[in-house]
Amino acid sequence: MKRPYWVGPGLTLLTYLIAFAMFFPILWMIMTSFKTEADAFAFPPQVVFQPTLANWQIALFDSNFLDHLINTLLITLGSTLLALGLGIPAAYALAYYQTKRSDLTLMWLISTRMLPPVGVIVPLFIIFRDLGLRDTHTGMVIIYSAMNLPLVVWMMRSFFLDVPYEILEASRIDGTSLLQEFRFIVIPLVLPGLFATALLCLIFSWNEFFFAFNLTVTKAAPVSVYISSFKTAEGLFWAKMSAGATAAVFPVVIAGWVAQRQLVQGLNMGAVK
Amino acid sequence: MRLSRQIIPYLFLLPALLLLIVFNLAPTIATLVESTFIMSLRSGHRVFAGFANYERIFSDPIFWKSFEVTTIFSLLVNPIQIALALALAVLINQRLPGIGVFRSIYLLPIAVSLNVTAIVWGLMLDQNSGMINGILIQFGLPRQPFLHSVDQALWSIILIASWIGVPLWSLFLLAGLQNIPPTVLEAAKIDGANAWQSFTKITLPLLRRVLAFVLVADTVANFLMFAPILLLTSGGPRLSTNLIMYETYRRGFLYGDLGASSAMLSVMLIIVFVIIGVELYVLRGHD
Repeated sequence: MKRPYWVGPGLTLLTYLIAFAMFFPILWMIMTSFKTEADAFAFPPQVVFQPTLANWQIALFDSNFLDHLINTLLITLGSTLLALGLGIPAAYALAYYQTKRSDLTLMWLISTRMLPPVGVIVPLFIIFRDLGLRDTHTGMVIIYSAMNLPLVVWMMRSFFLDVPYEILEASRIDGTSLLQEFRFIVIPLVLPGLFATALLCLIFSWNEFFFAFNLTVTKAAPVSVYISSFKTAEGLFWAKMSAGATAAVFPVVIAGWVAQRQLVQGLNMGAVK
Repeated sequence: MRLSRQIIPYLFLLPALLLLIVFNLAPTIATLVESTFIMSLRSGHRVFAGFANYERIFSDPIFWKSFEVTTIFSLLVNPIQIALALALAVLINQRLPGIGVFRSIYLLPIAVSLNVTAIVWGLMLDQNSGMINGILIQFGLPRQPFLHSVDQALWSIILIASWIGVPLWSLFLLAGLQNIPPTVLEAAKIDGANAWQSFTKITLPLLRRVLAFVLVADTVANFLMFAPILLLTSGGPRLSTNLIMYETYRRGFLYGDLGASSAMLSVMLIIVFVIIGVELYVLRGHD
């Protein structure tokens, strides 16, 4: 069966139209960030305008943006490392030492991810206050690790399960230690999956808003909280907010862009099986 | 040595479980417990109240209104998102010129955080200076109030949620599509199946596990939809976007009524687990 001649170009055109429609809101935000506040507020919206860097200057340098960016970087990297550090051994145990309880444990782990953050925020607030974790980097690293841990365990477990058991058995007969087995056999085999998992953790932590909004004030507040503080006077600061928001999404968009192939490949390895 | 082999799995699991117990399980239980307490007006202390909070919310029209809005929202947004995500996944799974660039672009919204999304769509949908109203005016159509209208606000939230949701879930479906061996589809072609037949008879059944996961995860995510409401509408206008998650937050945080808020959360937890159970049961039924 042959496709009619117009199907190919038609589909191509359709994909490009959808891509443009999806990308346009972001493009519009980037454009707004180069407008004066007056231009940003004009109607009809101005597609052609005199660009200015004033908002970028204010949003990035004449403010605490960079401090908050450093907070975000510390919290994101720290929580991803901690989630992987705690999650990988747990996933390993659940994959290779199966008992009747391991399925139940896994179910519970995954179900914690389904709980609404609002549901735990009040008790969490009290725990944070009593432990002195409020508005600290440590506190945010801990809470984001707890947030990402179920994802890490769930994904890494399915990657471990894909490792053929014969390989492990052969290496055990050869007398490798557990650490060697892990380091030289298991990890290289699941590396694409590990990479995808780490990337998802980074993105989720970078973008998280609710916990940060409620558990930080200024000292440890990440960029996500800082940007929304522009929203004080009902859209009066559209242009500055756009500049800050563009700067905030830039790193994670680039990371996602660079790593998208590995991400799909990683998901392919069995996370959704 | 044998003993250590037996202890190892528990040692591996312990730190992870401990973290989740302290920062997830304990707060959840605390919320469930809190739902049976009520603030006494006479003494100012919390007193045990049994199911009084539940009776309170079940006889509260605002709770039922938000329940209704959430139900309508869920019934609209989930089928829309999953249908579009599936269509998008099939589309970008085609070999088309420049498809790599296209995939990169359509993945962009996933990386954008919810509060930036709120800014992005605030700019697009603004009643006074928004881009969409600018386009409407160009075509001689009247300006629309979008987030400021009782009739349009919920649809605007659906649009915003789908801008992130559709690419996110199509990513999972794309991974599923790429897992289908091409030989199976080729065999169907040789047997004379047309594109639609091979899609419904081969692709969809083979996608069932991924679809089940996407359906469950999407339903739960939308049921718990919160940030766009907080940042864009605060539940309004006239409670038309007052999704149950936001109502819970409003009660607990803005009005300080932790008892009612916790009772609502407990009800939501039960609903989430029922949704997951039913969907998994229905989708596993054919095995």
